[in-house]
Amino acid sequence: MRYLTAENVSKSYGSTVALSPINLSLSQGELVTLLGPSGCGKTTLLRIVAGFNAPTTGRVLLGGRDVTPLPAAKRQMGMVFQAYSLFPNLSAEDNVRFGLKVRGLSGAESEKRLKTLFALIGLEEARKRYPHQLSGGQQQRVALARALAIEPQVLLLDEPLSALDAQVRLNLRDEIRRVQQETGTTTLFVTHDQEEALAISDRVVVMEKGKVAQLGTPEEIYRRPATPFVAEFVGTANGLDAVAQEGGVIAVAGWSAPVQVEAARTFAVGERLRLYLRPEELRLRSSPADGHLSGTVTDKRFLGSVTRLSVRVGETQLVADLQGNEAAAYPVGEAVWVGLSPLAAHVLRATA
Amino acid sequence: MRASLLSRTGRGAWIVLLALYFFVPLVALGIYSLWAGGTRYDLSAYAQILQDPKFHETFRLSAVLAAETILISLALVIPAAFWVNLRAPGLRNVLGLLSVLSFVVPPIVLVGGLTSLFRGPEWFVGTPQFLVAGYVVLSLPYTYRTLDTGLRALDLQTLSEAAQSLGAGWNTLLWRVILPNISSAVLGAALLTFAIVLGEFTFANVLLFNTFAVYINYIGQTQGTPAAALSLISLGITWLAMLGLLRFGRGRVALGGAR
Repeated sequence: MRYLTAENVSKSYGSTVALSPINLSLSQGELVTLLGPSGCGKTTLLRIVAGFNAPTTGRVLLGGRDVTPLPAAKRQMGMVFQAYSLFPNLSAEDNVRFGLKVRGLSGAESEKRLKTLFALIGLEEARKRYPHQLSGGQQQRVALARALAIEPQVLLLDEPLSALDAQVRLNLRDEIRRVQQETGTTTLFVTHDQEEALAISDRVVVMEKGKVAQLGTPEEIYRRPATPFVAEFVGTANGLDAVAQEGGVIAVAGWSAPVQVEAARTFAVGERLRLYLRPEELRLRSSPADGHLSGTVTDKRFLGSVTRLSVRVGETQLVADLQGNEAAAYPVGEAVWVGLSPLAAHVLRATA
Repeated sequence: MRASLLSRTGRGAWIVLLALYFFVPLVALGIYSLWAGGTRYDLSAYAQILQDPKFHETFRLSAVLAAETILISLALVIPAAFWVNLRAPGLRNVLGLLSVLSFVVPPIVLVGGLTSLFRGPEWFVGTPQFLVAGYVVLSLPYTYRTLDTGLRALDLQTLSEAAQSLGAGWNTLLWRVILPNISSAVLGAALLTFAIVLGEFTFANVLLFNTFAVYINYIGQTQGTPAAALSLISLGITWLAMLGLLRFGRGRVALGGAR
């Protein structure tokens, strides 16, 4: 069932279009992420939903009711901001209590809710502390509790993790998802970090230049990107120029022989394509094998859980990820044979 | 070694010189205020001032005028500075320039302008309340600068939006979020205004109202030791105010940032 809907929403500043007309619906309890580089319109859309900006066209519906004319204060939407939005003069618990006080909630009732919320974010011992006595991650957790205190109809998260250290970011990201699922709060999350988006979303909206580039589950976005932009923005991909030939065979620029890719069957002969190969889906061998391309290992990067090999194939440069110590079998400078799994390779029509 | 010793003595001498420059006149004033003719020294000059009903009357009047000036300035400047910082940062310079006009226009010209601008009503121009109109303008540079600095230290947009998303209107936002976070700036502005109003002479004298500064001037021109005593008393009041400011300013909430 549609719960939160942005219907034909767009935003222009003079002749500059920040957001082309967009349609987006969230079901109750769903977490949808707006993902894209800065300036793609994701924050603009979030702010329109929040009520901080008025859309140029379209409307925002909440539970079937048009909330477009309502100011932010009347929308019953909780919001967590990029950084340090806690009221500096109030302790953590008074920050969380703020929205309840505004609503005139009784002491006993609000105390009960405070207790639940601080247990939820795991900061019971820090209730009396002031924002400057809390770490960045703790501040954002308090901000989350504050947004949830008003039992919002929708939770809006505006890059809440981007100001935090890597480790804290990872923990808090999972925590946000856990809290969101426990409370069943419909959530719109904005980020430019694709890993974050894939990890916690039910669905992801990839945005490019004020338009929706693709809307789908994290897996769809990653495995079946709809446009070259999505393929290159989400995850790491080897992108190669190619031309379609007969029966799923494509000629990759810089390679000596054409290759067979199932996904290319639908394209007309002679069409210009982009071939995308995920680094973890390339198979390497140290001896020649049927259907494998010969290449040379040119570089090796140890990334922790995987080792990333750079391989020169023809006139192109590919990266391949190998697990554990598999990479030890392929020294830099040695010959290597690369196999493309025909189903994992992804082909898109090249954009001009 | 020698050089550093020399420079250290030099610095010490410099500080002693500065201290002498500040304190010798004060000490001299203090001794003079205690002089009771011949070789007698006592507190009679202080007693005379403190017993003078005019001292209490004028001080009370100036204090009331100061309080009114503070209230009006704050009520005018806080919303204006808040709005400019939040919505029209481009206008900040214009406001800054306007606020220092009273530095450029001499008080005597200001008072002329005021009297030709306000012809009535009688309850306003006929009473010392009239002075408040001028005092607000006089204190504007200090109130505006102080409050603007206080507001700039806050991330107004995020704080405002956070409060709004929690259901707060503009009133709640100003009273519960903005004001508490600029309380030391508000106090600073208030104390500066208090000091200015207490010492303002030109307006009151030209408009023939008997304020504290006019009283000080009158005593200074007519009596000897009581004038010295009065000067020290008013200096003491100012110092107490400054002390209060420092005390309050310390240990205020730290703003923004993570630990």
